[in-house]
Amino acid sequence: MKRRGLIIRNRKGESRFLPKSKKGMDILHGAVIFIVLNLIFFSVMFFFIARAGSQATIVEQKYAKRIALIIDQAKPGTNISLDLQEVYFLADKNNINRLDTIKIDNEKKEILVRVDVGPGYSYRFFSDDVILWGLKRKAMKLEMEVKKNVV
Amino acid sequence: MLFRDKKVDGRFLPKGKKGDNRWLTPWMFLNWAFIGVAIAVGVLLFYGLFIDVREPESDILTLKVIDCFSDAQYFNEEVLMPDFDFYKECGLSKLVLDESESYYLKISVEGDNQKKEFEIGKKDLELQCKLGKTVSKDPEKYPQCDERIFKTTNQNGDLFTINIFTASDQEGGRV
Repeated sequence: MKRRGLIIRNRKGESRFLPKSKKGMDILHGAVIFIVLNLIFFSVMFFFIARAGSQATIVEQKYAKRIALIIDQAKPGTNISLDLQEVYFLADKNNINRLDTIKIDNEKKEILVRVDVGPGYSYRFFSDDVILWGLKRKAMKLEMEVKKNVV
Repeated sequence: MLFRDKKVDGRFLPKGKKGDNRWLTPWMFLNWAFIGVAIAVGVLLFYGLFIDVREPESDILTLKVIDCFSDAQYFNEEVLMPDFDFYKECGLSKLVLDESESYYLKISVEGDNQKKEFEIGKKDLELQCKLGKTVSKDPEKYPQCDERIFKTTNQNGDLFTINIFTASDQEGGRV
């Protein structure tokens, strides 16, 4: 009894589960594997193109950098309201919770924007001020308040 | 799709037509690789836009320094004190400017027989930015920088010259 690949064969090289003239079955196995690989390949390509075509990557990058520049430029005491219609539109389309779209990390000085399945895009700001922020789901806005870091 | 003659042989295949039975060959995987790479490159070229904000970032950094070194319309003489905390007074993050290796600041203050220099971040960015501006045909591939000379006076009317060089090379990215 020999084992070759997934098909168990006897000494004569015949499959235990296949008829003696197994040429047709070999072709079938090849065809099935071929079709499965094709499906995997084209699914991956479809996912890649769909994601790139949705402009999610550009929107994530655009908003991360825009917010970072606004924070860097702002002086303590400034209140900022940023329209997020574009971000929420894509997030809703991709089943991402609106409250998970933007995160501002005051410890790492980092902004993370995520509107699609995936890790999202991050960008750092160099201002040492503390950013108090909140997302308004219905008004579709990001509200920020810049406060001087007293530590 | 194959044109076949009466003997059911593929017109463009050898008579034995063994090729018909070969489903999985290295050539097929090579073909997929070519198709995949071609599609990926095309899509990335079309949609993989890099939004470059390094130049405005270095401008903002310069303006922050100017703002911090001025007190109302006069020169902030606290800058010349030995215990002047640059990061705290200017509201800039040491973590990002000094440790991220994406920024460089070089500031020199001269006036009233006094001189003080500040140097923060990755020094290499200055040379790279200048090289990009002078030698390269594609300066966008190099760090972006801003250089300004700012003149101001203190309340006694003494002139102070501040040379500010800032560079940014932060590109951001997927987490």
